[in-house]
Amino acid sequence: MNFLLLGHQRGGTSFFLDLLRHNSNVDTINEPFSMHIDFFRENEETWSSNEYDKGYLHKLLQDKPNTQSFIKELALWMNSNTERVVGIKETALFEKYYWLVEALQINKTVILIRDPRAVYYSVIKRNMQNSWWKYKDKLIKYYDYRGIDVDSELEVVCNLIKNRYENLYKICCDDSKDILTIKLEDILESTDYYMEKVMNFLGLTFDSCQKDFFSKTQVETRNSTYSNYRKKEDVLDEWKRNIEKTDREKIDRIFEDINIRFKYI
Amino acid sequence: MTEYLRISTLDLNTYREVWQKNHIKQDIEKALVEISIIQEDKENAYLIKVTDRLITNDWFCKFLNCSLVNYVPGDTYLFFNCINQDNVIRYDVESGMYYVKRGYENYPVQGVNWYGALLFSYMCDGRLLTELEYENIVTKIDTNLINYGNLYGFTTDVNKFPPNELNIYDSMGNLRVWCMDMYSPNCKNVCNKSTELFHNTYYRVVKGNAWDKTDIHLNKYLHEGKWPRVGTMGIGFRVVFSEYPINFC
Repeated sequence: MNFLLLGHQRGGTSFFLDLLRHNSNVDTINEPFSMHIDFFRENEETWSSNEYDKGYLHKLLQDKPNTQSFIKELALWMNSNTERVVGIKETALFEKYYWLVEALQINKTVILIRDPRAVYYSVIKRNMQNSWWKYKDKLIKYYDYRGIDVDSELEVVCNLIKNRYENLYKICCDDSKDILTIKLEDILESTDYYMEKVMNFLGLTFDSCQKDFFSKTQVETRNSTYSNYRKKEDVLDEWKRNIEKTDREKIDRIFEDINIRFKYI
Repeated sequence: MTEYLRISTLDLNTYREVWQKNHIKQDIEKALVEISIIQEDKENAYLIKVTDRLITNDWFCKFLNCSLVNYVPGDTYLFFNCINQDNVIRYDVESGMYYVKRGYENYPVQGVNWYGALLFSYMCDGRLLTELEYENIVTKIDTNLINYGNLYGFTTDVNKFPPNELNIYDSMGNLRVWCMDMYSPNCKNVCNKSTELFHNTYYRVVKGNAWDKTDIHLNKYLHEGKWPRVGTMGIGFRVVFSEYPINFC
């Protein structure tokens, strides 16, 4: 059995994937597309399942033999393991979800949601919008940016996140696929209940090694970008303490629809 | 072993020529430690020489610049993940050369997949550690002198902490290591067993602890495998020289 974990950058997906991985029956790979293949970091164009080609995978990958072989080997890895549950995590590619399901023959999908305002705060705090992820370029190239001040970092980051959350929401609403949507905040507040739910979805149980990992990583915040060590209160509340009031009003407005849909307000 | 290297014999011979001019092997030979390996089901021990430190960025960068193929911009890598931009070995498109971010030369190389680690070792006329050999090179550890658990937020210089009593640096921290062994959840030390070998190309054994892992990985007997195609930021490798035959598949 295999699974795909999707969630936005700075949405707690690395921690959540490590939490899953600590179950001895689970094996995972972290972002095989966006951290291992140039093309998928740059391209945010929507691909449908019909665009999947068995030979070259997608017409835009025809001249990329190493990428083709990488993805085909990944699909073999994901579908050859009868002893364990194997999964990959991606913080991008929401818009290519249906192509991805075809290319990798995905069985189950877990979507991890975090309050988009917390995601915004974490992106800005680490200046990710100006790193290789190029938030402004992506917004302008792949989404409707009419009415958005593209010189405002707040507007660029919030609107890119909003568009991606809308793509995630469409996936969450698809009854034809085996999908579980879970909130990071729920995992942190009621760990046993929600982790049991996730693990049962994957045909497993929340085991002692996972519980051990969870409790050890909650003791203190070690503040490097990809650290698993974060106190619950910091994850849940740091953004509330640190976003200025005027910014907060703008952010609340941009995320209003998405927050209603995901029941954050 | 060459069947696992994923490059043509022609490329391999060209690599060798350039490689020999770069004297990397001679540098590595200066960093070897001799260790006796005790086998679990045999009376006889055997000797290996192993690099006292994880293979560094400086060494691996020179290796990449000897290589003809690793990466075509816009595509993906074969041996070394230069796409993850947290990696301190960078590819310069204009010159077609790799370089190490200043100050990180003596840090351990990250982002090398199992095939890249094996190819590097092969060019030195060596190989990777077996799982059993790894367990032999780890002795008593002081958890205050290990880079793990995100205490430093990244890897550290391969000589930052004192070596263990066998003179091995970073035996249980900084980066985990790729091993020769194929991985199966129920079978350990495949390379050091004379029993019938199974064939599972989807996993290779990974041992040890890393800068970003917790104390759960402080157990040297922890038996884990990883997809060998992937070059991640938590795995490095050492090179081993030994006359002793292993069952490699």
